[in-house]
Order: sequence, then structure tokens, then C-alpha cells
Amino acid sequence: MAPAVLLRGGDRLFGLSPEFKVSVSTSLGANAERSAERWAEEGTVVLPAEIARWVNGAGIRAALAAPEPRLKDALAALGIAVVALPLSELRRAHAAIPRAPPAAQRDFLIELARCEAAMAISSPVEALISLAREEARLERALGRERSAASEFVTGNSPALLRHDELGQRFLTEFEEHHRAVSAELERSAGEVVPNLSELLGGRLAAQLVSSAGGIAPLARMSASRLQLLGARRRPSEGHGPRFGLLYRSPRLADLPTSRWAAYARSVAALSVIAARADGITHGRIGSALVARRDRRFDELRRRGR
Amino acid sequence: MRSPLRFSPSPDSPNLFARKEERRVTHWTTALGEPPATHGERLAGFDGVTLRHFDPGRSKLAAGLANGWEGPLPTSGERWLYLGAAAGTTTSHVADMVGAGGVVYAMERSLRPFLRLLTLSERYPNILPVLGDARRPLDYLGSVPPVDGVYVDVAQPDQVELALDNARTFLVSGGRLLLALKTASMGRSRNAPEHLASATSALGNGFDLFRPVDLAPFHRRHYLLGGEATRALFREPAGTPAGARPTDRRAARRS
Repeated sequence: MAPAVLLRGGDRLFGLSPEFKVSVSTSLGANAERSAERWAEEGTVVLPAEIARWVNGAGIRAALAAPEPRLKDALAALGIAVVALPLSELRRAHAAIPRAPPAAQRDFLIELARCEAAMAISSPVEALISLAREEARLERALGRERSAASEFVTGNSPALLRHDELGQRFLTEFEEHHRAVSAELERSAGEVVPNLSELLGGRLAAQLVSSAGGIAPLARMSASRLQLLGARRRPSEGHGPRFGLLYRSPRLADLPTSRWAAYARSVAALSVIAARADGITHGRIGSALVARRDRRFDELRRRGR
Repeated sequence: MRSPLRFSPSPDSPNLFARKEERRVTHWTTALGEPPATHGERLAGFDGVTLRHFDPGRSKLAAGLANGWEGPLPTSGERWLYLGAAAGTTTSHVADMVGAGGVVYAMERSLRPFLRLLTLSERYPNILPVLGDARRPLDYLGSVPPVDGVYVDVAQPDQVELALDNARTFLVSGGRLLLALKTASMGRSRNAPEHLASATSALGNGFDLFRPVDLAPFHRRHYLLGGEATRALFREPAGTPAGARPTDRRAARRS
């Protein structure tokens, strides 16, 4: 026997009979805003009473399909197992749902997008990524402004001097702002990825997280991949890049150039361990990793020319 | 004196115009949003409407048009699902093409471009933003109704499979698919024409494909593919059911 289907269409939930006729429909919330909040909320969605009653009705509970993962979870919370729906029936059920006029759909979807975006960006990792990108942007802009200021012609002309003074004032204020953002970035990175920050410094740690798109993807990464994160050139056998963001890893510049690649490989390997500690095991192993990094540094300096 | 501007409406899509310039043909769409420009593009007035330049350097669909794409295009009054909308440059032109009577469901996964898409959709009457992962069509099944067309521009190694998955789930019968194929993200073990061949053969079962168009020089190693869905597309896929493919990129590459 074909199953009954529970589907969402915009801000409404629909219970469809096995013949794909709507037998119950109810709105998620009182208005578009409430519905969006309810659907975007973390945790399982609480099904409206009407739907719960329909689901528990005769014959429905035995064979019920809910293709949407969120609805599946909500039903699981009620102790109901759902059956899989073959593609053709999924398409028929999907087509059978009556649709709200575009304007109403738009209200709900924009509201939902706002809720989901706000929720996503309020997580500490996302905040760290935003901050890292902002800092990188500021640093680029600051570099531009500095080089422009250094090329400025000054002389004894009062007009030129006045102009230069304005430029210098802007530069000081800009630098101050950059410092404040950097400090905030360091602090935030120390909280979100403590081990990685201890090993590489907060700024670089945050940039790695930002480039990978989160801690989880970074923790899943291989060391060789992490080593090239942020590299502009394409990896290739023989003459690929040796560093990406790790070009600015601590103490790299103190080594002879011939040892940079070896050091970058080691730092990448240690960074992956740190990222896994930050993302998965949540242990504090930062100082041990720093000790290993410094040991490797000394070793390479002894061997290098 | 400059010769008067001549815009000729495209036979495929009433909101799309072509204009012969000195050495090339440029494409324009009627602006729906207010203010009309979304990303600093050129504007022109014609016959009482504002037209926006459809820049082939910024949009793969425009590059396809510039290189003589003959296949399906979004036309007025249609519903389209747009995967990989990013900040909404091409999306806004697709929205222009479907016009005030149509709707574009714009999907984007990554947050930062999505925030820009959200601000765009607030002033564009027919762009509906959806935050989600195109690899999991069932996640946004409730937000997107059956559509007349699916446009895919996602630059992922499994872009062809996810295009097929979404087309199976959302296309009405006889619906159309447009796929901006980025071969560079499909691995470097094969070159671009080989990737194109494998994509055409993967899509060939489910679609009546038009001649693919190379998007060079605007986008190197990119192609525009597309066609009309055949009934074979909606048959049960042999392997996994829709939406049950691995979400992990590396797992997808391995299989």
C-alpha cells in the first residue's frame, strides 16, 4: 500500500493521503515571521497539534513518508518511523501540494533566509571567519595606503604639507583600527581554536579556519592539503607551491631558505593535529605541539646552511 | 554622430535583447529591480524600459549567449531553480528574463555570498533566497515547488550528479536544465574536453541535449550545457535514491 505523505510547502505543512489528496494542512506559525523562526530553530521542530493528531490517526502511522529530514526528525521525536518514498511518488506528492501566491512565499522565504543566516553567523566559528576576512581586507588596504603615502611628494610648499598631514592622520587612524581588529581576532581565535592559535598565532589560525570554511573541514584535512591552503598557484608534481598561508608561520623566516619547505611540512603536520584537537577531541595539547615545533626548528637550523 | 542604439528582442526570451556593436553582439535584459543596477553594470534605456548589460566576463550564461548558445533559456513567466547563486549577479539576470510573472529560487550554500544575495533579493521582486546545500535536494523540498527549469553553476567535483539529482526532484516533465560546467573543479586527471564528454554522456540519458558551447575566452575550461528533460530522467535511478548520495566531497570522488 502506498504511504501517506507529510510535506512542507512554504510555511504550511500538508498531510497527503495515499492518493495524494490533501487531508490536513496547517500553518507552521501565526504569520510568516513566526513560521520562519519555528522552522529555522535549532533542535527538532515541534509539529502543530493538528498534524500530530493526523499522524496518529488510523492507518497513517503504519505507513507514513516524510522525505524532508527535518520533518523526519520531528516524527522520530514522536516515536514514529517513516518509510522511504520512491522518486515518482515523491514527485507526485510534491506537485500535489497547493502553493501560496508568490508574494506570500517570498515573505516566508526571505524571513527564513534571514533567520537561518542570523543563526549561522552567530556561531563563534562563523564570527571568527568574518573577523579573519575583515582583518585580511584591512591589511591589504593598509598596505596600499602605506605605499601611497610613501610616494607622496612633500616639499616646503604649505599646501603640500597640509595635504601630507591629512594623509598621515588618516594613516594613523587606520592603523589604530587595524590594531584593534587584530587584537579582537587574536582573542577570538584563542577561544575558538586554542591549540591551533598557540601553535601558529591567532591570526594565522583564524585565516586557516576561514580558508577551510570551518573547524570541521580543517580537522578533516590532510597535512599536505593544509600546507597549501591559500596558495595561489595550482598544485602540480615537480614545481607546485610549497606554502599557502603557512608562509607566515612563526619562526619560518629565521631559518635558512633551503629549510623552509621542510619546516612548512612539519608545521602543517602539527597544525592538523592541533586542528583535530580543537575540532574533535577538545583537549589542550598546544604547549606540547609548540615544543615539538621548536625542536624541529632547532634541528633544521643545525642542518641548514 | 553616434548611430542610434538598436536593440532587437531575442526570439527565445522576450526580456532578453541583443545589440549589434562594432565588433560583437552584446546582450541585455530588462531591469526589474529598483535601483536597476545590481553590480555596477552598464544600463541603457530602450522603448521606455531600462536594460542592463549582461556581461559575458562575469556571467557564464552571458558568455554562452555571446558564443552562440542555441539551447533553452529562461523565458517570461517561468519558475527557475538556480543552484549556486553566490552573490546573485547572474541570478538577477535570470530573474529579469523570467520577468515579473516568474520566480527564481536562488540556492546558495556559503554564508557570506548568501548575505549579499539576501540584500539583493530584498529589492528584487522575484528572487527568493534559499540557504542550503545543493547536494541535498530534500532539505529544501518544502521551500521550492516544481520548476520549469534548473540552472546549475556550482563548481564542485560532482556538479553533474547534483544537477541530475535536483533535476529529477524538481523539474516538471519537459522542464529544462542549464549547466555551466567548470571542468577545473572536476579533477585534473582528465583534460577539459574529456570532462565535457563524460558530462554529456551522463546527462545524455535524461536530457535532449543541445550543442554544448565552449565559454572561452570569457571563462576558460568552462562549458554551457543544457537541454530538455526526457521521460528517462524521471525513471528510478539504478543506484541510490535521490538525496542519498554521500555529502563528503572526498567520498564522492572515490566512488
